[in-house]
Amino acid sequence: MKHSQTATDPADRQPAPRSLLLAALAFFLLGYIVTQKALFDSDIRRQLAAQLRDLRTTTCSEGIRLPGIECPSLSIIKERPSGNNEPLRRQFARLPSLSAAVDKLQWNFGSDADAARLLTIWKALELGRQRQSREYHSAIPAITQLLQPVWDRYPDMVAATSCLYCGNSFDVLSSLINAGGSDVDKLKSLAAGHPRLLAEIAPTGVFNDAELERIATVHGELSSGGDSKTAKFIGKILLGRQDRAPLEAWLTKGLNGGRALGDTGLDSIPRELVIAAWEQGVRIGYDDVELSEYLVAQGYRPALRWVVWLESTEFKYLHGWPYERVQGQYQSIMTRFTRFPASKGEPLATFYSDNWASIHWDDKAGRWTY
Amino acid sequence: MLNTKKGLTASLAGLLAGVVFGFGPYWEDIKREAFPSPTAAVWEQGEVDEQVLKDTADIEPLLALAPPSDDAPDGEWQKFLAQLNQVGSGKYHTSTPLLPWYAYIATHRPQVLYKKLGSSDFDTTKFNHLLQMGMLGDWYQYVEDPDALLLSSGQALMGYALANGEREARRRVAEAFFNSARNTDRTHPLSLELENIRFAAPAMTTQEKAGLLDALLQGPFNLDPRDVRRLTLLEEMDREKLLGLIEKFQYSNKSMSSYMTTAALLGEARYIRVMAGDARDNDRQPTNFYCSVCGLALAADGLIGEPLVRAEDSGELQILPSDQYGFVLTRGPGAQMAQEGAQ
Repeated sequence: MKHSQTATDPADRQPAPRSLLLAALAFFLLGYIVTQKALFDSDIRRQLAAQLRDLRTTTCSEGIRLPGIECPSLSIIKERPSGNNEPLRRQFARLPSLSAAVDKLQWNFGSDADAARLLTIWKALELGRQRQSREYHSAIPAITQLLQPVWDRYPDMVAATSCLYCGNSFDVLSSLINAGGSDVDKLKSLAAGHPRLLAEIAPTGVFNDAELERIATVHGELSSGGDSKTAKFIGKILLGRQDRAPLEAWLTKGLNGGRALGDTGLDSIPRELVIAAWEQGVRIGYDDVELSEYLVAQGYRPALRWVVWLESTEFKYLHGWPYERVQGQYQSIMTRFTRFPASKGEPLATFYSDNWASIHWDDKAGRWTY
Repeated sequence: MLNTKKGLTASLAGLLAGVVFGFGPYWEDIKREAFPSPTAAVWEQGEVDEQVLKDTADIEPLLALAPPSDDAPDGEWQKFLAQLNQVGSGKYHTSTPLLPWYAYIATHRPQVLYKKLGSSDFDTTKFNHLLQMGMLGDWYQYVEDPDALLLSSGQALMGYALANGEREARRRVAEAFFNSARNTDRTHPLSLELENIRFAAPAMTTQEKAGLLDALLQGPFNLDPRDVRRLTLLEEMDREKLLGLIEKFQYSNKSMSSYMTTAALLGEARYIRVMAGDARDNDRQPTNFYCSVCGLALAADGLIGEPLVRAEDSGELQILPSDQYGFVLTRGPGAQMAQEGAQ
């Protein structure tokens, strides 16, 4: 007891000046080395640069100047040669490509009004060169670079400028989405608005499973699959649900609704759903050949009839690009799953027309016979 | 050392100095990354591409657009909205470069858009586009006639269902539909989105479901006959009344005739005849809007390809209803007799 009363509080002990110096030096070295090691990583440097950009945006827009950081020009169009009074539309029309036009635009972290202005000018130039689709494709990296900072802050505004079913325009949006960096809540709102955006944004991990299923279900009921990637993405989620109504609704809509079952084991799906998906494609002459093959091999007669139609006529409207790219597969269906004396052209049409009543599925042989 | 005040201070000061000095060599790199030096714009003076010139909007009026301030009265925002409609937007009209400004108004003063919804200043196409981009999510709290939009726009219903839950959305649409069906004051028929009606069906009472098709047939509505197919997904829909809907609303234009396949699958032979007549060239229509052979393959067995076309050309095509196949296409008895005679 006596001992504890006479002991000095450790915080009151005075270290020797030499020890203090050594400690400061040791921590200086620690700080220096850790910082250098961290900054060696280019991702960390990039993140810091983004923070610095945001800081400049905030300070400059509030009229605060920071030493060593200049506030940028807010002009959307980079400086033109002096003395050139030609209308801008004409000057842009002199440029050799969309890339060259994009190169003349800038957005120096201005307000959202400036973002709207930049996007408007960009869109006018894009529409002006809409016919030059190959050139547009090669300009996508430059366009992405121009729009990235706008996307980071106002993704809804950039998306509103886009055309979701125009190849190049959507490719720009897709590369912005996949570059990341935008506000998660805004991305969630975007994804909830359109199934194609959901299919593009959800893989970036902004949703939990329950949120994703809820949104996909409403899309299944009320939207439609305009492209096969989206159709499959939503279809896969809906396949996991007990209630089949949203899936049935999804499969029977849109240009690609019928393709939503692709990449899944068809044997595990109720047959009436497979038929619904197949029929959706056939109605518009854009069937999924995998579904046609599956149903022909299951003894489903309308599927056989459809393949016979495709293989026995030369009607041009039936033989567009959707047919051409997989025509070998249709021919293969005929040779593998039928035992008819003809498998192509008018002889097949004549054979089928004359013998349709006796044509039947031979379960044992796994073929259509007569 | 760290458990003394002086020791702690010295260590922290050393650490801070170390971090600051550690930044030094990288500061310029980070600054360059954050603010890359703007590349000098080289304005080439090449030949004017006349097509590009024609398709591009005048840039100066677009650059001059200036939105009202956030605290400006609605009237100024309405003027700005009207101004957007008057600015030339280029010759290529697949889209408009002004969409970002509509998005801007949607963010800053959405009530102006709601007030002008359906007018030339802000049509429903633009409204639906903004909804698709995740904007105007609470539209139903502000528009004048939310029920009309819930019945006519799938996009609007999407937003409502996501915000209020599917169950509430289904019932709201069901009520909106039957209220509209009874509304005799409507001067113009309401264009229905049948997918929205199908969506609402699970929330309808048995009595409502029984009266659904009559309400569609007799109510002040317009609808796309191609979408009657959506109602075939529902149970216990009366075949004759579904066909009646197709009949009532069918188009004269063949390009929108995919409803014929639905009608044929519902057992209406008349459309089989039309599709057989169009089999050779599909009446030169794109298949995603009308595909005669596709409909025949789904709804009828028997004659296929050239034999079918020949039978149709010669007036010998017979269309027989069949429990097993839907319809059977065959040559008439006259043709068979002629064939037998030849043999």
